[in-house]
Amino acid sequence: MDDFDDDFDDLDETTSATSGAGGDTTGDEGEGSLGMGGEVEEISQDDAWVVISAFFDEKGLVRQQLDSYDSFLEVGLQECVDDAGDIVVTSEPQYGPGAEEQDLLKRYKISFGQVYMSSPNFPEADRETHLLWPADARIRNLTYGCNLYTDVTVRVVQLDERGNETEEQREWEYEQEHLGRMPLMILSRYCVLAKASGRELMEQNECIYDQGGYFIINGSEKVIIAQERMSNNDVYCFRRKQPHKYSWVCETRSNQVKGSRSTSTMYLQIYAPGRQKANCINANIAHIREEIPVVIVFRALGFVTDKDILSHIVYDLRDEEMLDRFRASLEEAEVIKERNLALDFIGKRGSIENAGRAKRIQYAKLILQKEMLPHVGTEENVETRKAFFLGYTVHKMLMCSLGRAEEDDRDHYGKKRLDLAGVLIRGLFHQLFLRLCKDVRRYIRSCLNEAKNFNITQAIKSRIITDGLKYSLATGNWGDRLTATRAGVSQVLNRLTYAASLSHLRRLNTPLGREGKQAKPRQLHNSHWGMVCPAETPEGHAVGLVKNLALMAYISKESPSVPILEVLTEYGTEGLDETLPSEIALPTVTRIFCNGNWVGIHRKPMVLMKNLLDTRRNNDIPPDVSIINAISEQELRIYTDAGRVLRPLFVVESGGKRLKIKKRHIRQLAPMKDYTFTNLLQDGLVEYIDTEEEETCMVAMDPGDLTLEGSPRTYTHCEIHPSMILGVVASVIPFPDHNQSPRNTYQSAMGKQAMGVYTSAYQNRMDTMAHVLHYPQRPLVTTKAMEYLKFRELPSGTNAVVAIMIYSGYNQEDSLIMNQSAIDRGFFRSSFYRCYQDEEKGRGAGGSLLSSETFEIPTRDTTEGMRFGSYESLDEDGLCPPGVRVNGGDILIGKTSPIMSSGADGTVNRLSKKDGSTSMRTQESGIVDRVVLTTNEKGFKFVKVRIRNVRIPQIGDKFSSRHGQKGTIGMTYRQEDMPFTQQGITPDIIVNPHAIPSRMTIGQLVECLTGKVSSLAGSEGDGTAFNTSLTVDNVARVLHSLGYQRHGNETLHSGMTGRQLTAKIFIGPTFYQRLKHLVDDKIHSRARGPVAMLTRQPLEGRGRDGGLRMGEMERDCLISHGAAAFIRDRLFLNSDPYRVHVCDVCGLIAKANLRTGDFMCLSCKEKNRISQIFMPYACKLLFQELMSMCIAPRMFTSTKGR
Amino acid sequence: MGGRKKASKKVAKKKRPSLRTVFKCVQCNNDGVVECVIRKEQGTGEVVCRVCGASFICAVNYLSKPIDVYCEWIDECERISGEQEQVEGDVGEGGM
Repeated sequence: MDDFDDDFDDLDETTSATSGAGGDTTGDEGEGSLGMGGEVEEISQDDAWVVISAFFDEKGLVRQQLDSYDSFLEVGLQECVDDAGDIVVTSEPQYGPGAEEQDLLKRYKISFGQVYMSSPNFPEADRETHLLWPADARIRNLTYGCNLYTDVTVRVVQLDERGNETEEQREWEYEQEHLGRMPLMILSRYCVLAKASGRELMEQNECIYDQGGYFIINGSEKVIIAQERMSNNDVYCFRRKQPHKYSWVCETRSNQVKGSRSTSTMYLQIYAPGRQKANCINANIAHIREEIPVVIVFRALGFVTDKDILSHIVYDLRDEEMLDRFRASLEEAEVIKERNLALDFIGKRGSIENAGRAKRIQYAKLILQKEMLPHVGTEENVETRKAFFLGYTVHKMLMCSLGRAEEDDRDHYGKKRLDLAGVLIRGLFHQLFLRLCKDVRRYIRSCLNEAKNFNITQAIKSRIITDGLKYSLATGNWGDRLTATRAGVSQVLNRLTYAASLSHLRRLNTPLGREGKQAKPRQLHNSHWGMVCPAETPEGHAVGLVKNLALMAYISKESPSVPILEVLTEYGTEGLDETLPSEIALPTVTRIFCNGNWVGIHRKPMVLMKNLLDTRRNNDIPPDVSIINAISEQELRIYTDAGRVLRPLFVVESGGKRLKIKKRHIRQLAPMKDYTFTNLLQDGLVEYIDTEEEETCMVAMDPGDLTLEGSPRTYTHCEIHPSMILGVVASVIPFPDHNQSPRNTYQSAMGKQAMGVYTSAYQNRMDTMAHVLHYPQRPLVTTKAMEYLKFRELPSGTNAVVAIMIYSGYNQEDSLIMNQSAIDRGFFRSSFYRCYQDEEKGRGAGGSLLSSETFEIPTRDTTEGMRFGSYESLDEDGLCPPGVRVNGGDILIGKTSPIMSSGADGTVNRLSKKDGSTSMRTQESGIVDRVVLTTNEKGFKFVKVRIRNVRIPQIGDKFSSRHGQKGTIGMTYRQEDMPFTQQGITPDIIVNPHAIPSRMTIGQLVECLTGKVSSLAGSEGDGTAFNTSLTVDNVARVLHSLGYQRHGNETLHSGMTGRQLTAKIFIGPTFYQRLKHLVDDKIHSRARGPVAMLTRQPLEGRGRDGGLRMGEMERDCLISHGAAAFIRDRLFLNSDPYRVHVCDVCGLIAKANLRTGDFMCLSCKEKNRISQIFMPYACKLLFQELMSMCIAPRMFTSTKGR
Repeated sequence: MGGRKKASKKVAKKKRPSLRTVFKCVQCNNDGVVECVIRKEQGTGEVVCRVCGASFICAVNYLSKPIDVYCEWIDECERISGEQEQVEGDVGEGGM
């Protein structure tokens, strides 16, 4: 106990010292700027929003993507190249005819140096390279990227007769050799738009609100989805459900932070009691084929005596219980008592075969040094540290096994790491660069063998990197084209609504089998608080596996661990090499870990923790380094690796009563730009806390909680605002805290389908599909977060007057009645844009004339295969001009390709061309909006045609409020038929009251009420989540004071009869969204139509005028009705009826010529006994396929046939 | 449309190699012909080549596996050949 006291005494001293110093500095600042007034004044809940604004001003919403990619370009890229090492090629002896003398051999060493990047550019097909703007890349289907160059040094070393290197060597330097093209992330540091002002963005046809964070590959925007994984280098202990061979298992995924070695996992197991080898602990080591008793591993590491081993595992040798638990393991290894024996034991179980003892021992040593727990070290003499780490893992397992420690929680978010764009591309680049090196090596070797001079520019095949990166980014298949790799890493950016794009850029994916029944990884975990949105996740198979970052969550970048280690040593951490194992047992001694690696011990952890926190708050170590003082485990863990989720929190002064941030900081933040969020971090007022560190913090929900009567004095941090736990789309919901939680999830899915203005540059973009709402409105009831989501600037809906009532019955089952007169005035009108594109293949640079296509108006007298649609709207250049009305099937782009005018047999074909035109979709019509004619990557003439079409709301179109209440229009009534209020107000939308009780979307009612007040008062309602100052009572009071019924109910009169309605109707403005599902895009029926070539059954899908499938279940219904004739009609007559002729003798299909009446069975030459039968064409196909496999299906028309 | 669906390629998970139980014969050099019998109760293990009949017996303990007996045999052979040749004993330097 004495030790503890000392520790805390020291702590107090240091605290007072530092706070004294801190007080001095803050005093200076205060005097300088704002006087002493704000020195002690505490901040209010509203002031938190100033801090939040400062956060988003500085960081934006996709900072994780940009930072991750930037750190790859700035550090990772060069590291990848440096890690690859030299390419060494030794020439082989050449034996030329007649040549007696042998040339002495040479050794070529190629090393790569500095890597350079060009500005974003594009090499045109005609070899001219110029600056590329993202908008151009999008329109011309190019890849937005820059060139990578590297310096190359080639050294040639002369070898002597024995093959040893001599002094004689020559060296050539090649500067800036082309390495490949690297796709650039939009608005990342090296993007041309990075420093552009709003005006410049507009001039470059960019959206002024665009946040970047995505790539443009072949003209399409690609997002890299963050991939979740378990963290490396941490020790996990899991209980095995009995009955099982093992009672506990322990996993350590070890991975060197530096370099690009793959992970090697070490497993430890404790055998379950009551079985063979009860309580024995065994280890699985990489490359060793069998589990090895852990004591043998210790002996192989050089810790031979039982006491040595025990002191590394049990630490406190008085701990009888633990010693007892470990006894079985010691006894198991009784027969292997020497280091060499142990090494040999391991070596024998390795992968070398038929090796002698010395070799096996050497091999085992290498395995232990290089492959076991590589994160501890792979250099020589790491045995001590490895023994310490191994001992620690065994200790942890024993603690678990003895019930003194809990099982690790696999789903805790502190143990998760998110691989972002930068990390993922780095992995890909590393792979590709190694392949490039291999290729260079092969090229040089073949040059040397053929005694040719090699050209380094030719040797470096830049296509490997260019194409490799492009392939993965374009398809989402991360990794090699040939090997099966994870799919869906890169996705096409969702451009339906601005919020949908933002949310897509903040998405997280868990690469787990979607089929997995296991519920645990899908559930919302406590540790998700503030990091992952609790509402936003898809429904169905990916529920809970796909997540979205909360608004203020940020993802750590990798920072070097060396400075941290220096700080640790400075503050009195004792390295493991000079530590006696027995010291670890002391109750105050704490183990210090850095990125999972045990680096030493410290005797006064509280002091160390205090010092480390001060260093971080003084900005001496990066703010995204997390420091975890796990007191109960006597561990202090520090993490500097990439991919931890962090979020900012207010720091609470020691004493736990006051925030460090004061009113004067808020005043500094608000008007002046020179005091930013970073300054808050640097001044230690706010700090980033990751999920694991959060476990050691005491976080107040509200600054008011700190000073609350009877509140504990242990608060260390305070939430900036609890509504920041929500993600992008969930932040659009007003009063989400008044809704049943799944409704918020439903809205989170629907908010992404709402029409709005998806980008301010939509007129300049040529997206394949786009919906734009004509008169978007800012919602009457907003949330604070909307400011950062630009929801006010680019809204996705309209404030509609909504009545919740029954009127005529046309709004049952989630349908809506809509005001036709409002629709006629433009209510929820929207435009739909669709783009068609085509290129002249083989034209221009690099194309041959014979196969080249041409944009022109095809004529019937020269062109074959012309379409059914109209060619009328085409202009002379073969393209339809803007402003022309086009209907389904019309030709938009006329194109022909030449064909051979004479056949092989000399016959002359009248037609010399083939039609390759692009026609409008049959179901759509519209007006040609814009035509862009340009050249694409290959230098071909390339055209995009955009069709515009106004969509007026009609019966069947889908709408929703912001509370997961979706519905389709069931009826429209003109204004005169709608019910009206005392003031003559008619609702735009009538919702059925049945939509409310079971769904419990109280938020919608509160929104309506607040909306009513704000429409009357001319203010903006605040619907931010967890806003304690706004209550329904208050809103009702204001409404009442404005002369309305306090709860929003009004007396309505029927528009049909003029009679007063008996019930009071809840009516008021509610923000509604028009969803992209429109009946016009869905309506479909078919009587006759196209059939599939192979089966002759009707095609599938509306786009192809396909049939409506009579599926298995529908068929079952017919069977249950006994409607045999109807089944025959559906499944046969209206599908693929076919007639075949069958030989009565052999039962196989016979040849038939109906016109001449000739029938013959080809197998038995029978001409008379042939029957005609009807069967589905698919059946005939099956029989023929069977026959092709030498199975004869025989059909007989009578039982007497044979 | 009507095209044949590619049969989904099943990614065969790399099987972790297990400990070998049949070996290459030291005498006749045939692979996979040496089998091992461990008699725990007698404390002996025996490797026998089923082609040339060469065999070797040594003492074993409860941790021993066929590979231990076989390796013992290799060491024995090396020792004998080392004695016979009386040249440099152990090459020492491993190829690893």
